[in-house]
Parts: sequence; structure tokens; C-alpha cells
Amino acid sequence: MTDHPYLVVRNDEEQYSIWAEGRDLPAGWHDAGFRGTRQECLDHIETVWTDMRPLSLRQGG
Amino acid sequence: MTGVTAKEWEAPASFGQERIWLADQMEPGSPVFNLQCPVEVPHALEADEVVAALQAVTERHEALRTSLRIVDGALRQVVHAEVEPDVRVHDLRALPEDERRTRSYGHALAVTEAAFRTDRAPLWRAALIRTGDARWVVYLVVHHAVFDAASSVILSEEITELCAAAAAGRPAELPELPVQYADYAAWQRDRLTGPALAEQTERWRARLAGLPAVHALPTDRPRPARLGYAGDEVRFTVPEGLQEQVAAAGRRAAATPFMVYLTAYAALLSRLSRDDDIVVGVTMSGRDLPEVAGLVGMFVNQMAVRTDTSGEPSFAGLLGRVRTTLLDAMEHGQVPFQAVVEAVTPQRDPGVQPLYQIGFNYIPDSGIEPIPYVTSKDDLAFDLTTGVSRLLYRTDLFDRGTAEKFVERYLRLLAAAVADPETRIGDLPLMDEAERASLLAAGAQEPPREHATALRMVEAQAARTPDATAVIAGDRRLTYAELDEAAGRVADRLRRSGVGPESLVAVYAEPCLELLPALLGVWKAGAGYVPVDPAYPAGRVTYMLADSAAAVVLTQRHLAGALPAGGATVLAVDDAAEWAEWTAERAEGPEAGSAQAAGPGNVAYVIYTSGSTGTPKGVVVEQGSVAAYLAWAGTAYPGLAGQALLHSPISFDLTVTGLFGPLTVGGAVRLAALDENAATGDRPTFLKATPSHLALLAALPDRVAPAADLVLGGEALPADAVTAWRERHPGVTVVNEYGPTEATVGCVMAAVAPGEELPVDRAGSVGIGRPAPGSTAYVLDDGLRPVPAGVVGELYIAGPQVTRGYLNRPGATAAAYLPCPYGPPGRRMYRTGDLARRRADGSLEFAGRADDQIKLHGHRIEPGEIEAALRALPGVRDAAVGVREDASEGRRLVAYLVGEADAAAVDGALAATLPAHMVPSGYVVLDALPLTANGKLDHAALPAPAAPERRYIAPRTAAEELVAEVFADLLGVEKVGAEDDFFELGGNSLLAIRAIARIRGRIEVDIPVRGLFSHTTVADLAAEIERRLTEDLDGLSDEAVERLLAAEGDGRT
Repeated sequence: MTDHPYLVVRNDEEQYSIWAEGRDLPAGWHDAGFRGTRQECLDHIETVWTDMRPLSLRQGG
Repeated sequence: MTGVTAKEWEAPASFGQERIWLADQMEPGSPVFNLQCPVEVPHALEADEVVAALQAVTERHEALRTSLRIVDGALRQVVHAEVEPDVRVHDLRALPEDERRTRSYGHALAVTEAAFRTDRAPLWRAALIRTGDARWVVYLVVHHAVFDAASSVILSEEITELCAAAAAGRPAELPELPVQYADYAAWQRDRLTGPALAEQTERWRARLAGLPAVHALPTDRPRPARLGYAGDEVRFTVPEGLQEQVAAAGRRAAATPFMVYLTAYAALLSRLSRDDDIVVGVTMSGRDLPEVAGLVGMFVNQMAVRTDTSGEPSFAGLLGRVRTTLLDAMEHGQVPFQAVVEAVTPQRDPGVQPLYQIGFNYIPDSGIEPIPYVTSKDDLAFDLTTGVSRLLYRTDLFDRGTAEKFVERYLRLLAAAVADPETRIGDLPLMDEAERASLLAAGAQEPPREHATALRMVEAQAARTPDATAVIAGDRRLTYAELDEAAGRVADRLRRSGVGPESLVAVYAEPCLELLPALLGVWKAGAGYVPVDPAYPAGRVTYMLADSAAAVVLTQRHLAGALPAGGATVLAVDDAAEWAEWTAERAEGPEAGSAQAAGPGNVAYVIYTSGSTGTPKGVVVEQGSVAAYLAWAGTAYPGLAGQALLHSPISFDLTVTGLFGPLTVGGAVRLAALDENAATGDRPTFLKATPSHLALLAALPDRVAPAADLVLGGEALPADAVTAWRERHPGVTVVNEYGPTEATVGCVMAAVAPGEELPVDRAGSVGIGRPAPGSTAYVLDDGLRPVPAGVVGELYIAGPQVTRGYLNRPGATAAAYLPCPYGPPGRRMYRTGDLARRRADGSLEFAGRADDQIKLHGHRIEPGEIEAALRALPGVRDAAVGVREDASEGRRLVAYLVGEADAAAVDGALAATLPAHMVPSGYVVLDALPLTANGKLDHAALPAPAAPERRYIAPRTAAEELVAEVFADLLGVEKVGAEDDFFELGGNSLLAIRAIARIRGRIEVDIPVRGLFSHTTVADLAAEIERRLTEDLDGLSDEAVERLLAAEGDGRT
């Protein structure tokens, strides 16, 4: 199962997560354009999610 | 075969007879192998005419005149020329309809429930019930050793014909029987020998190697050490439309309806048991030879069909797998099941049926209402027919409601599967909408407060009760006003150091009066604190300071020197001089820095989780999450308004309750260690601790015990320890609070009010209850789908207490905080890594860690269950169980005990209550269980047990000598020691029976065959023999005892 492809996904607060490809993505989440194994997706997130504060907090101050 | 004039003649027993006989010996006197053959006779016959029909079939079929007997250690079938069957005639014509029905049922049950002795022919009996002038019902009950399902059809047809012929006054037309059963048995013995049998058996061994020793289907009760056959049944029908769809789905896949039904069964079992290795026992008719087609006898053979359900296959895909497996199995279906058992699992657990425990039969429909079963050979088995189908279940393990639900789920899943076979098996529905909705319902009894912060809650309370006591340390106290004032000074000083919202300030301090001003001061500055326990090893302290990149460290004077060198500003909170300086600066200068307040989204604290593997990760907890927690805790725990005793280090998020909870409801925080000294102050009203602390609490004076609320959290909570505490403190509410740091302190809880019954799970732990207000708890499978009540899944938490994530670890955060498919758009849920199951009432039970459930020798083992059994024993105060691995012994279970109990006695007691695979193979007695700094069990610090000695020990008693001699002789081993194990020496079940027979031949002791399966070593069996001898002797006269002993002496010379 570890080789099952995953997607990197992101919500409107610009928080990242992963999602098994082929399953319906829950509302409010978007495909962030990266696909790979679970580990590849997590490695990718490690490089792109540089500010872990939720977007509303960043914008609020 | 010998002459027909003899009264009886012998022939070898068939393999099937051997298997049934063997199983029967395990539970002598049980009706579990009684098979039913109901026949309706719609003719106006007299009783003797119906009896004559029974006589005719008895004459035709030797099987109906056969018994079994051991001769020279081998099982033989004995055919009798004549038998006197037990035939009971009941004329119920005169009774009213209702009573007739009841009585008829009673008579049927009476013949079904009585056991047979397999050494006495005939192995059948019948009740002939006349319900009308032209209506008889013949309830025949036949022992499985001479009968099977096809026999039932044959017999029923023959009796029908015989009665019809008698009614019409014509001769009956019955087919010729070219052979008899004993001929078949001899033929089978001839054919299945030597290399042919060995090769086929080897194929089975290869196919079944490493199969789960027992299925993982959740049971309502733990499996008893001794296998009982008590059973019940649930009847149902597969709707005709569905039967047609099944047949059609089969045709499209070149599969039989049986294969389709079995595939749905395997899919359901896989879903309910969280396992992808599903073993089901199916029955082969064994009547491939045309000569035996019309014969009554035991022809069936069992096969273990093993299905791999992994990889999320579609139903069609799984059907393909089942089809291949089944065809392959059928090709080798003649290998006696017993031979397969011996080849695959030579050592067996008397509490578990070997190879499979779940059966599946697709049997012909007799058209007559069957007699209900009161026994079950399998844990669970389907008898599927085109008419009335039944689910048989073992009542030791399952409740009726569970069995009914199983059937309901099966039919729902089957219907969806045949409607769309491309559906993945994980996506096939198990429940209706109402059940699904109830599983996904939020625990929110009240909406979380918007824009609240923990700081504002404390400040508001300080404004309400400025003069009330807020903090107590020894004989020093702070009022709310003083606390607020002191916190303000700390905040000012921090702001001057550039601290503001989203900054982190490390707090490296022991519990002291200044601790709370320091923490609140950090919050007032808008920042978050990072608790760093001074008791931590230096390396860990350095790591945490560096990882959090805290700009300022708040500490105490005497600890400052222990801090690692770094770039952070170090401030001692208990430095009077510094305080004075701050105050002066504050008075003089303008407000330093921008006094920016933290909002609900800002970090309140970062707590490092002491993960068992890898480096610790800092969990970023926001003000809003803390506020959400404190809001419900303040209401749920009235004791917080009194005095909370705070004894644990603040680096453990469990302490957040006692640290800030009182300050939101007007209570006082008292900092004190949990020891004798704590008894000198007022009795606290609130105390929070880990279950491991309970032993310590029990040893302390009552004045340390909380008067209102005892909250326990952080680990599974053993019910027995709580029960003892509650007995001593009957007026206190005990709360089991569950929650990972990632979901802020506690998010699921079970409050047990005084006098209320503890919700105890099957592992002996207290249930974790229901989600706290605002939080939702989901129990999901690997595909994030909700699992039904009773089924174990992984626990996920959603709601306002879900934290931001792991500090500076985007990858780890993304892996643990997943998109939530069930809440508002964009919401995340936290994957706890804990296993849980929902009770029927909707509350939750903790079922262990997903990653430390032990899988040992094919068994899935929950250590908590064994620990609970250990703690229930006298002389065991505390216990832990783990797996040890070493070169000589491989992986094995080890128990750690605290108490005076003797390891050997504990081992004996456990063996009597737990299945063999759950009995530890090593014991270590400790003074106390090692705990981590957070008060949880420190698994890493548990010592390795001394290697058990495996050497020859000469038999020490007469009984041991006898047993050793019998073993040595039967197994062809030269020297058998007192500690040697029968099965490890190469014994199997047939040899076991011979061993018992020999022992019985040598001394007069009534030891059952199952004795050797429960007592597998020489010493154990010898002890059991001695015990039984003593029991027998107690009932004998002195004279008889002398005679017995003399006879035993003779036997040994």
C-alpha cells in the first residue's frame, strides 16, 4: 500500500496535506499539483510549506 | 470383510471418521456433532409402519449400524449386524395447534440435544411425531461420524419413498447400493498413502504456511481458555431477486454462486476484522465416486480456504482470487483435513480450532423447518441455502445482536457487490444511512467560543475575584491580583527583549510560586511558552532550545548555570534583584515594545512529544485551542473551582488542566510533589494524574486524594486500579480523559460519577467515553471510511482543539493532519495513531496503539488484555507486557510484575484464564515499573528476562516417569525429560490419543484426551494425572486405594 500514489493537497488556509489518489478530495481542499509516493509527497511538502502559520493568521498580523 | 453371520465386524475408520472422533474426544458428551435429518411423511400410516421404514434404511446402510472403537491405538469402525435404535413415538393429534407446535419442538430438541457415545451403535436416534391423521414428522438425529449433509438428503428421500410405498401398498423402489461405507474407508486408506499423500499435503502446507492462528474478527467476549461448543443460530433468507443477481454475477465471471457468496463473506470478514488474510473453512462433499453417491456415511472433508484481500481489490477482482483459490483447493480436496492440520500447525492451542474458526457452507435446502442448533463447531459459520439459511455462532464469543448485525451487513454488502462488481471491497456498504450518520455525528454539545484566548479567560477571572487565592507553593501564596500584576511585569520584561505574538519563550523551571506569573507573562507578551523540564538529560534540553529557537529562556537562579550556552537571553524569574529592576524600569520608562495581544490563532505553547522513535517533535498549540479545552473542562470538572494539586512537570500537557483550569473558574493552583508532604496542606478538590500514578496515590494519606474530581489520562486506564480507588473514595467523580497533545490536552472523556458503574472494556480498561464539546472523534478504516460499532479502527480527532502542527516540520505535519472528509470544507483532522472501537451506545474504547499491537506467531495480541489478567491475580500489584527478541528464543512475550506473586504461580493462573498464545513465556519481577518523566510506562527501560534454561531434567515423580516413558515410546525418542513438550517432540493429535489411551491402560485415571492438549509437557500432564488421582482417591475406600496403588505398581515393573 505504500506505493499507492498520493497527491499533495492544500486548503484555503494554505495548509498542506496528502491524499490517496483516486479518492474524492474533501470540500475545501485542492490538488497542489504534485503526485508521487507518500514519502515523495511529504518530502515535497517539506520544501514548499515554508510558513506554517494559517493564511488568516499571516494576513491578520 | 468377515462373514455375515458374525454379530459385528471391523474395518479401518475413514480419515473423516477419525477427525470427527478426535474432535468428539475433546469434548465428550457434547451434542455438537449431532446432525439433523427432518423428514415429512404426508401419509396415513401407523407408527409401526413408519418404524419399519427406519428399519429398512438401517438394514440398507451399514453406517446406521456403525460405532467406533480404538484397537491397538488405531481407530476402527465396527459394523453391527443388528442394532436397537432409540425411536420415540409421539402422537400429538389430540392437541390444539399451538400446543402441538410447542410439544413437537420440544421432542425434536430432546433428540437433538442428547449426546451420543461413539463406541455404541447405532449413532442415531429419532422422534416420530404424528401431527395429523395423514401427517408424520420424522426427526432423525445422526452423529457426524457416520453421517453428513448429503446423507441427510439420501436418507430423507429413502424414508419418503418407503413410507409412500407402504401407504400405497406397493414395494419401495430404492437404488442398488454397490458398496458399503467400510469399503469406501478401506479404498480411501489405500489410495491416500505414501508419496501421493505427502506431495498433496505439502502443497497444502505451503499454501497455508504462516496463516493467522486465529481470526481477528472482533468478539463480544474474550476467547476462553477452553473451547466450548455452546452455540445458537440466526435464521435468514437470501431474497430470491438477490439469489438471481448472485447467479448472474457468477456467470459473468465464470464462477459458481457458491464462489460469489464466499467472496462476499471474505470481503465482510476482511472489513470487520481489519485483516487481509482471511481463512474460511468450507466443506467438500467427498462423493466424487459414483459408487458412493447413494450411500449414507461421513464423506465430507473440510478445507481451509485462504483469501488474500489486500490491495483494495474490486469485488470482481476478489471473486477472481477466490475462484482461483477454490479451484486449486478442490483439486487437492481429498487430502484429509486432519493430515493438513498436522502438517501446518503441529502445536495447537486447546482454545482455538486449528486452521480455521469461521465456516462457510452452501448446502441443499431440505424444505423443512430445521431444528435449531444449540451448538456450534465454529466460532461463526454460514449454512447458506436457497431456502432458510442460518448463521451459527458460538455463544461464548458472540451476542445474538452481533450475529444479527453480521447477517444484515452480509446481505447489504452482497447486494451492493453484485449490483456493481467493480466496486472496491472497502467501498461496499456495511451499514445503513442512519448508522453511518450516527458514527459521523459531531460530539459538539455546544459550539466553541469564537475569538476566545486562554489568556483572556484568566484575565477575566482575575478581574472577577482579585482577592481570591490563585497560586499556592509551600506557605507562599499569590492572589489573582498579585498573579496578574506579576505576570504583567514578566510580560513587560519580555517585550523589551523583543518578544511578541508567535515568539517562543522557553521556561526552564521547577514548580515554584513564580512559575505561573512566568507562563502568564509569556502569554501577556503575546508569545507562546516552551516548557523544558530541568530533569531532562542535557542533550534533550539543548535540542529543545535549539529546535524551538526560543529567544528568551525563563528560569530559576539555581538552574541558570545548568543551561547550555546559547544565544538566548536568560532571565531568572525568582531573582529578587532582577524583579526590582524590572519594576523600576516599568515605573520609569514608557511602555516598552508594542503591547500586541495574542489572538486565538497565535501560539500559546509548544510541547515536545516524547515519541518512542525518532527525535521529539514540538506540537504548536494555539490560544484558541487551549481556550476551547479550558472552557469545557471548567464546566465538566467542578473541582477546579476549589484547589487543584499540580504535581507533574509542565512539559507534559496533562498538567494544562490543573495549571490554568482553576484560574478560569476562581480556583487555586497548588504546586506540590505527590508525596507525604502534600498531605500537610488543605485537601485538594481536583487532581489529575496518569493511571501509573494510581499505585502511588493508593500509598498516600487520604488528605492527598481529591475531594471532587480525579482525572486520569495519558495511558489506558485499568479498571481494577480505579475500582480500588473508588472504593476508598466513594464520593469522588473519576474521569478518564483521552487526548493526544496534538488535539490539546483532552478531547474525549468518560466521567464516572459517584455510584455510577465503570464502563469497562474487554481488555479490563475503562472506556474513554465521548468527544468533548466541540470535538469530533472518528473511528476510520485505512480508506478513512467509518467502521461500524464494535470494529476496531484508527481514531481521528477534528474540531477546535486540533493544533496547528509540528514546529518547523511541514512533512510530519502533513502526514498526521489530514483533510477531513466529514466536517466543514477545508477542515483538518488529526490522525492519533491510536486504535479505538465504538461501543453499541456510541461511546469509545481505546484499543491500543496502531503501531504497537503485537503480532506474534500469527496471533494479534493486545498487551493490555494480558496486563489486566495479570493485575487481577493475587499478589500482583502492577504489570506490563512486552515482546522481547533474542537470538536463541526468537520473539516472545514477557510479563513484568510488581508484587509478591511467584512467577510460576502466575504462569499457572494465566494459563487457566488466557488462550495459550497470550500466556507470556517469561516473567520478570520488578520493585516498580519504570516510568518516564511524564509518568508513563517507560517501555525502553524494561529489562530483558533471564534466558530460560532448556536442559534435560530427569522425571522426578512416578507419574512423570510414567508419562515420559509413554512419550518416549510413542514418539520414538530415547530420552524424554520432565520439561519436554509432547508436540515439540513431534507429537500430533492421533499420537496424543494413543498416549492418553496408554496412560489410561497403565493406571486407572479418568483423564480426557483433551488433557494432553492443555497439559503438553511431561511435568504438566503428570501433575494433572496426580490431581485427578487424588480426586478419585478422595471418593474411594481405603481398601480400594490400596488395590489401585498395587495395580499401578504392577504396571510399572
